[in-house]
Amino acid sequence: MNYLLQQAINAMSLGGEYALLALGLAIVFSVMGLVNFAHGDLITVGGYAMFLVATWLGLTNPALLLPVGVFSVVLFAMFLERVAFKPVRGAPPTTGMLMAFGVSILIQNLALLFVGTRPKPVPTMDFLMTNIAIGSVLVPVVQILETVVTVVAIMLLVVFLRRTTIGMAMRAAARDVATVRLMGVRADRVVAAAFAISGLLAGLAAIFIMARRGAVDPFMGFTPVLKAFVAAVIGGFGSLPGAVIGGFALGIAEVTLQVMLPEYMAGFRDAFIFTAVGVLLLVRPQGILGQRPDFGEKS
Amino acid sequence: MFKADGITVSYGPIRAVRDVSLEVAEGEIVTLLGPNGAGKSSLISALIGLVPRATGRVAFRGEDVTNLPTEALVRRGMTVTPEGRRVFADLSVADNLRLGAATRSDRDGIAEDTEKYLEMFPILRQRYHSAAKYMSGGEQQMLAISRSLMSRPKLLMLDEPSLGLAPRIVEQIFEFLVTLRKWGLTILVVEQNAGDVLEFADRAYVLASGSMQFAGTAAALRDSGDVMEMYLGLEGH
Amino acid sequence: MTIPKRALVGALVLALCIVVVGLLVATFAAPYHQRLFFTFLINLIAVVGLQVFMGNSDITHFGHVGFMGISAYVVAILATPIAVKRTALAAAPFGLSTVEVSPLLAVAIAVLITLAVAFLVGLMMVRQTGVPAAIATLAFLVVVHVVLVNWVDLTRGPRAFYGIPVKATLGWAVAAAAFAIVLARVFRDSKWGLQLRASSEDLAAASAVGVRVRKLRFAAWMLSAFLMSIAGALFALFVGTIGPKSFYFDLTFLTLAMLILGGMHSVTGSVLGCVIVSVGVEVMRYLESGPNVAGLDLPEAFGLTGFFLGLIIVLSMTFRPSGLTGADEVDDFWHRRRLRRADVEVA
Repeated sequence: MNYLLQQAINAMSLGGEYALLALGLAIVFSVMGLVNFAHGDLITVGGYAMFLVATWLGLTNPALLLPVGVFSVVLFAMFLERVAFKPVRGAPPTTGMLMAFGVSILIQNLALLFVGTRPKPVPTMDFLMTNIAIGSVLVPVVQILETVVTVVAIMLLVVFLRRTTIGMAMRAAARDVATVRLMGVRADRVVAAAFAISGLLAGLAAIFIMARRGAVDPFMGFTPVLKAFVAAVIGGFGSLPGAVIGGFALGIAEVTLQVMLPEYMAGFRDAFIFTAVGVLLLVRPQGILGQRPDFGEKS
Repeated sequence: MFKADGITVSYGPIRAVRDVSLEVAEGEIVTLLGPNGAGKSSLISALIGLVPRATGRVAFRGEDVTNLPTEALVRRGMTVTPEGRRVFADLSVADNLRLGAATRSDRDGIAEDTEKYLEMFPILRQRYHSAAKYMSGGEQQMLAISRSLMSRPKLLMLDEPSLGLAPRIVEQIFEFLVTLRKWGLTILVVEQNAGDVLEFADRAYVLASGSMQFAGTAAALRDSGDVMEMYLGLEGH
Repeated sequence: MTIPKRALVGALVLALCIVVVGLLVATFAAPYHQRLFFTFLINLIAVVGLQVFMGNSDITHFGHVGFMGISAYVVAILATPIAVKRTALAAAPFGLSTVEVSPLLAVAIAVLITLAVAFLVGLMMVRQTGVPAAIATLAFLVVVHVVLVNWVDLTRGPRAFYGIPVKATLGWAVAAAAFAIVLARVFRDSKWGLQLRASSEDLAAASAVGVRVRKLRFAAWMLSAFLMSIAGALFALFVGTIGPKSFYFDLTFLTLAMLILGGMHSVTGSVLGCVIVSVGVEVMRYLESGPNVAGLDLPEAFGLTGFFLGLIIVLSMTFRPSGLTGADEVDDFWHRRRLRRADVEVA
């Protein structure tokens, strides 16, 4: 019973992290039709920002460091959009996708060039890794926080999209950017907002990933972005609720497989997941909730 | 109030609009007619900046707005109700109208205007919170026009508002346009449905194969038999 | 399958270039450079293999290297001497640690197995295009990698698989590369290739004309996998030691960058891209090691190669997404020059 509870909490917090990551991908895709392979590297950038601030400015108080991490990711995401993605805004989806791919490689190697391969430590709040007791189960604080933050973030996002003008413009732009411009809303602003939110979500995810790893290295964004893709595809690429559902579904699937697979097959867990995703993409590309099997051939 | 000079629109090697000029004076209803594929929609898209112009200048209320992007033109008081209505399908009527007022910040004015159009088109009030995609063509057209009006434009351009709508609804919409003129709005309406529009328009242009074939008063067009026949397939009065 | 004479000439010319350079390298070059050239040839076959699918069907293919890996490992498992396998692969299933076949037979079996996998995956793959298909190929790459890393009994997992007989000669590689070029051209300019390319540009129009797009895409997929399997087999028999990492994202970036730079719609583009990037990468690797250039001691700059590759992709996408050659082959350039000269003469 304890074991089940433990695993359930694992699944929830893991699912929350995947949901955050997938949402970041989905927002950019839904507004711009861009498959942002560089999304995972936003996490890396956040980690390095925290490391650099801690080392150069001697600011090691985690309470101050966390906002720095998140804020730097938001800024970097907006910078990336302006510099790398704006030039390919009207291009076919595969051009954008390859561009993001190239950008991702650039970021990873820039980190390699200027900081080096060895992981750099990122100070984190010690209490995050302590355990508290829920009933008879010991749970790391970070897991609880992760789930809570994910839920809060999603709720705030929903409010933003439903109640603010720019949020509504983003929802409208997902189908028809031209008409949004006819409302006098600047397309640039809508896209920048989408990237800012994407960055915010990535930044939040980065905090939790840093908390668990304690260090940042150039290629750490690679696995998260793959997982984010899987989650987003399951839920329906481009659908925001789909990304959340996909994230939690992936978290649950991973933990379930981990528990159920016999010892010698444990390593194949990812093979099962990716095979399932591949088949899903080919049979029902719009996933559970998505609406566009054409994946971004926008009007 | 609005003047376009020598507009050319090309899609690659194809010239959809060739050296077209038109103007709309304040308080007028001007109609742009022409058969399918004449380039009317391309011209409107180009005038509002959604499609690039190869040549030509555009002036609005005395200001040269040739190099301004769509959003800036809308902020200056031009707007387009696009062909096919293009309401925001997943958003509610309320949200559609709210987006229409995106350029404004006066809460009370926006509420007042919203109420005005809900009065004018009761069906919008009925469907206020439901998604626009569930509405019929005619209802969507009422929403689209109201949405355009929410920004309190000085010049309203409509691209084929009667397309695919029942005659009764078309009549309602055209009556609304006349009301708008009474309220002081300047209107440019693109139509294939020549007969009805010419009844209330002040002036008319006829576009065919990308070039302007006629420019004059609506009455003159109604009376000239051959222009009508050649390009519109109608008998003159 | 008939193709225009001009196209065949173009293909043969390209192939001939490779053969000539191969002869020169074999005769005059030092062993180190011969090895570099060998690597170049393997990469070339891989890029051409990628081109066959990506260039004709307009679908980004992230998984091609997976086929290379499958083929390489089959060759490794079958061709490695039993003496080595007894220790290295002691627990191999199906009694494979007691089996040893000649390299040639190993290659044949590897190609067949790779084609079989390609067949199964391909049946599903052709159902989609665009981004879903691309991500599906990415999933395939990951699955292959996970299997290679985790089926330890069969592949030695993440550890190096050593002891593969180094039997591949420069001659084989040159022949294979020339063959790949001609094959890719023949497909591209045949009726099939033309139909596939046309329908990739406009799906609606193509299906209206009754083109069996899926079948054509499947053919391109299989042909691509075939070429990749040859590249993989050669790799195994040349390097002698392989690991799962050799067939994952690094090689994927490299070959994609080569194809994108050169121009993914032409075989000439693949060759051109491969040449330029190979040279570039060698220069980068040299710089990375912190050499002494003109009296200046340059610092170590690990990551320069990757940066260079990323830059190529980003710049190509920004300024010239269709690559250096656009969609033109060698014979297209000549033809246009001939036309232009004819114009000048008339004038």
